[in-house]
Amino acid sequence: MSSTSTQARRDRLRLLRLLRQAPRPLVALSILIQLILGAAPVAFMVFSSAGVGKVGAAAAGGTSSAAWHHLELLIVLAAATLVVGQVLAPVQQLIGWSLKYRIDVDTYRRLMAANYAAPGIAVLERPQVRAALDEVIADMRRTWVSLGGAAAAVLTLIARYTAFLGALAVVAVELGPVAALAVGAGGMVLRVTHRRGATAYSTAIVDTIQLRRRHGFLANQGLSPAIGKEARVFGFGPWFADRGSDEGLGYFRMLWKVRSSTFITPFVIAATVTALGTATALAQLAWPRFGGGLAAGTTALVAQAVLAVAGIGSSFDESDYPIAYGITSMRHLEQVEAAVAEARAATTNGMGTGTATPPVRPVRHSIRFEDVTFTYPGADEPVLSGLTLELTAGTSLAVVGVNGAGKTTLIKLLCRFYEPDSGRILADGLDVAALDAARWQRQIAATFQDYGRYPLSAADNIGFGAVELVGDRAAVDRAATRAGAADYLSTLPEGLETTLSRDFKGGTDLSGGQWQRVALARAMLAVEGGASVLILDEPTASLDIRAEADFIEGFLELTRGTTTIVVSHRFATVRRADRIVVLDGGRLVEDGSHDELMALGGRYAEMFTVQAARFAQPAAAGGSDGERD
Amino acid sequence: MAPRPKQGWFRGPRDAFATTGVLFREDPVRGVAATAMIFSDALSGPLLGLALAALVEDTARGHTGAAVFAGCCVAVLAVVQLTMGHFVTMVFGVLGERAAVATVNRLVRTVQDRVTLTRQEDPEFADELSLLEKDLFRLQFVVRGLLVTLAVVAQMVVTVVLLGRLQPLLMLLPVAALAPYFAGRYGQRIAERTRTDAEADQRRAYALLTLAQKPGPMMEIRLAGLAGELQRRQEELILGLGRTQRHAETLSALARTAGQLVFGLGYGTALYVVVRSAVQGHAGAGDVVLAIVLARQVATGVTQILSLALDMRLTGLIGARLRRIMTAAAQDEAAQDKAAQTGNGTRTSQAPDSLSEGIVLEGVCFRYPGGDRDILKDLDLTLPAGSVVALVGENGAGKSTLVKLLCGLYEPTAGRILLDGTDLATVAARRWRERTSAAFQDFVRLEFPVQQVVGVGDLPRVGDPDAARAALTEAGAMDLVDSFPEGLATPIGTSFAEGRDLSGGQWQKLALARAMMRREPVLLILDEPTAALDAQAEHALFERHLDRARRAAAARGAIALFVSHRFSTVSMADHIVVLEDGAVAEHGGHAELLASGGTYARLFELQARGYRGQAARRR
Repeated sequence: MSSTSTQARRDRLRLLRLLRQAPRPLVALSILIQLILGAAPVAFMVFSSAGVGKVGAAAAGGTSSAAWHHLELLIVLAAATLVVGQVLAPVQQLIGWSLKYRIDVDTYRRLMAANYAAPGIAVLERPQVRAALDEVIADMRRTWVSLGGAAAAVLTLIARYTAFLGALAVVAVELGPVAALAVGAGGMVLRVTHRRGATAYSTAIVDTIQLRRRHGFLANQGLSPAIGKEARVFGFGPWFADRGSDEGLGYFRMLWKVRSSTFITPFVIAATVTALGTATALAQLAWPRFGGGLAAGTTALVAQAVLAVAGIGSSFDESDYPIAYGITSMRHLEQVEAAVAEARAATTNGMGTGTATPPVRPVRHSIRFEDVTFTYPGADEPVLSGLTLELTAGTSLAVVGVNGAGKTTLIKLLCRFYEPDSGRILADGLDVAALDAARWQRQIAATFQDYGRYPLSAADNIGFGAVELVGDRAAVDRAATRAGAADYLSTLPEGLETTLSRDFKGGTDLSGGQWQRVALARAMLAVEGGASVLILDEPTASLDIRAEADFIEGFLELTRGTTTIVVSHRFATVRRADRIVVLDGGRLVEDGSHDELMALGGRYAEMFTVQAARFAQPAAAGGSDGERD
Repeated sequence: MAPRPKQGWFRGPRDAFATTGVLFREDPVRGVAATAMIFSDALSGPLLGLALAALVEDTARGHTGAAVFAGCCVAVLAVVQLTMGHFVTMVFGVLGERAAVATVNRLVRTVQDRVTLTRQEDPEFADELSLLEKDLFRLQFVVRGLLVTLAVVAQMVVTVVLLGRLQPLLMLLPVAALAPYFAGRYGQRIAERTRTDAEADQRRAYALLTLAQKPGPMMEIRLAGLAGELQRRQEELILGLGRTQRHAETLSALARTAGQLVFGLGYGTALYVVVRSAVQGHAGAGDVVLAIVLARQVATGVTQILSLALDMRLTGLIGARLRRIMTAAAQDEAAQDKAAQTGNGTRTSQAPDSLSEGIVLEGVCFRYPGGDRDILKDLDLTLPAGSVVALVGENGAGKSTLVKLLCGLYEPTAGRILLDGTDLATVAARRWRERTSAAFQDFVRLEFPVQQVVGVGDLPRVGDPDAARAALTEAGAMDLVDSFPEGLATPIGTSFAEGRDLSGGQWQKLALARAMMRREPVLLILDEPTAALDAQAEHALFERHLDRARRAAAARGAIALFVSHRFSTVSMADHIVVLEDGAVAEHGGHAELLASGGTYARLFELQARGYRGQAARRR
């Protein structure tokens, strides 16, 4: 018991510490109001009971007697304390909202920091970290569970305990310590049961996080327009709905079990104890032999006080669950922050020497993979095993291979999103692991297969290639033109200012090919922003014919002289590279120019021929004037 | 703004009760039990007042036995008050979760099966749905709130009667309670309006935040050094949101404070009246205690009704949103039925299970609702029965829209689509879709075991492993699935704890396999389904696909249509349709189109250059 309650107390204190994010006067004001809100009911019972005590005397003296005037004063005081409590409640709620908001803004900042701080991405891809992060975000979006709400809720305990202690004092003074102890302990037993129930329940919630995520995922996907086309063509909407329900009910049944074991027996026992304690105190009040049989006013006061003391055993709707959930939310956030901090430390310590990192310079000579081996966390087989590969600066390299050959992994390692298990990656002879990861990453411009589709303007979507050029309209225009995106973007309702998401009013969505060109424009902008290595991962996958041809003849020309790595299944794109490597099983199996590899008649030649067969004979409209330069 | 209160007044309660029905429908026994508990909880209040008055009175008179009994009654009633709410919470938890699951089920059925795709894609509809989804888990709380309100109203009736027996003037006390009630309603309305307005900003902020966890953006953000910029923008959105909300919260708090003040004055007056009548000899000390306790219960009761009435508004909102979505679904279905009836005399036509002539589009136009231009413009096109058709065109030419029209996902804004002469508008869309199959460029990443991910392509055989294997083989994905230790039972996707994450190409193969599940589709559409596949996989896939398509063509005049940018596959088609700017620019066979030297020939040549002759050397 002590360890869990110590832990609970410590967690509450940590929640309270969050209040440091809020302005001090606001916190002080909140505490003051809570004290008043707690004292008001006690004052009310004191004044009103004193009034009850005066009724007899005033009745005897009539409405012009001093006793009546005294009684009038007591009534006014009692009414005033009640009014103060009632009027302050909305004010307190407003302050509570303010506190919650301030802290939640800070929580949001912490979330962003965690999201963006780690230079690698492995940490954010870890299932537990992702799950924890998603939970905190989900909690934030629910209006009633948040760190801020929980911290504000801790303050409301002040009012509860002030009222409790005040009433307890009244009982102790008027009826003695035994009665006070009986009812006080009785109430506290129930209180602790409430609090423990909330803690146990929120723990159960944390333990079933993955099931809940799955349940939420299915509900979310089920309601999303993204599955609309296939749901209708295949008619699987109702099936999907039922699958979601089945899994949801499975999850909730587990939860219901936990709930009935935590919330029935302990509560029945606690309620009995409380009833006995309260009955003991009240019986003593009624029994002259045990100190009771007091005057009417005192009886009224003590009876009300006993009830107020027992009231500590009520469920605190404003704080029990907000605090319990807030604590799980806080733990999740701290878990994410710790993981990110650890990853960050690991990355910066990777340099070995501990001295200042060498300055990052544009790549001028070469990039070299030296005997690089890499296995994804949790995987059995390495994706890359002993890969050695050198790329001369200012030339282009195409990487081909079947799906899963390790092409994208190679890129991720170069970007230092992951660190190799063994081997080194050298840029101009310098181990990139020794460089400041964030600075090195700025040297690289890239379009990935799953490039971002930001629910922002087209200009921002392109500007996001390089942070320095986000607002530089001329640079954005240039990049859009180079990537062949300018024409259709200018036809959008608000041109480049149009939001590229139909989820928002006035927004529009682009087709896959149009998006891809936006992503290319983004990479162009990054090159303009100073990146010296350009990575194109499947840059033409969803481009149409003209766009691909434009890309090959335009974009690739424009980027000539930039150190470029292209991963593609499209051999019209691949063959334009100065050098082509074929990856298989995590190793380099072929290496050479297009002509060399064709002459070799190996894997590359085979793959190329499959696609090119159709074009083998010159078409009626043209000859073999494919070379334009 | 003027018609709003009226709507709230008349529809609010109706919607709120409709929502209660949603909650109880799943488990009426628990519903009744919970309702009984709520009422006993509420009524224990006035009883407690009576017992307390008896305790004071009997103690003062020295009736010790009666006083002790009254004290025990007080203790028991007090504990009922302390714990009943807890037990109610437990019961409501089960009710609410059950109802939320059932409602999501109903909603998924509605949005994925009953409303039209155009409606589903409408941002306003999406907003409504997302607000409803967010509120659903509050269902139990708001319904409970509604019942508690009713119970508290009952409690107030008892309380007021008891008070009236003491002093008839006290029966006016609840009138003073109207002030806080209306003040609360006003505040709630402001808050609700702000919430709706702020929804888009909040969604945008969180969309940016969650986007940063997807692999692509995660990497881009780091390469571009965007962290600070993104943080700044989200902060702006969040802070802006806070400013709007603070304004609303302040107004609402002021209104509530004023309302409470009015009631407080009323309470003070009531207290005065009771004490005065006691002093004049009309009541005893116990009566004064009863009045103090009961009158205070009017205050708590009012506060409770006040705050719970706010929940009732939310209950109403859930009910109203649900009603609007269901109405939309009914409208969409009615519109379809109507089209089906007016198109062809009186009866709904059958969906053909084979084609002898083909599919003919006559003057088809399409424009998104609220759009300002036609995506398809007066399009005429014949897809002959038994043909393999390739659809070619630049991005934005209208290919995907045309595909959606052919699958019966969109309806033409003008013109007709004829299936062997039968207007598609007269065929129930559902029936026609059963005769089609499709793989899309933006395929769905279903996260279930492989068997189901693929099997849902033909629901009656969703659990049939042979069918799934055949489809996987056809899509060239059997090797992949064989490499999974659990084979077809392997859960796919990261929403499972133990789920397998796939690469883009692997996902795509599963989507293709899904499209291969239906045994006898009359129309099979592949809309750029191979973008993420490697060259060999694509080639092998198309060879198998064409083989099957030819057999289907011979057997039932089935049409296979695919959209592709790769001429190595396009040229395998019998019939090639070139779309340009929402209309058919040209169509015919590969050789024919090449010879005519039009758009197709130009596009072909563009791509051929990339493969023919010397590679363009770069220095």
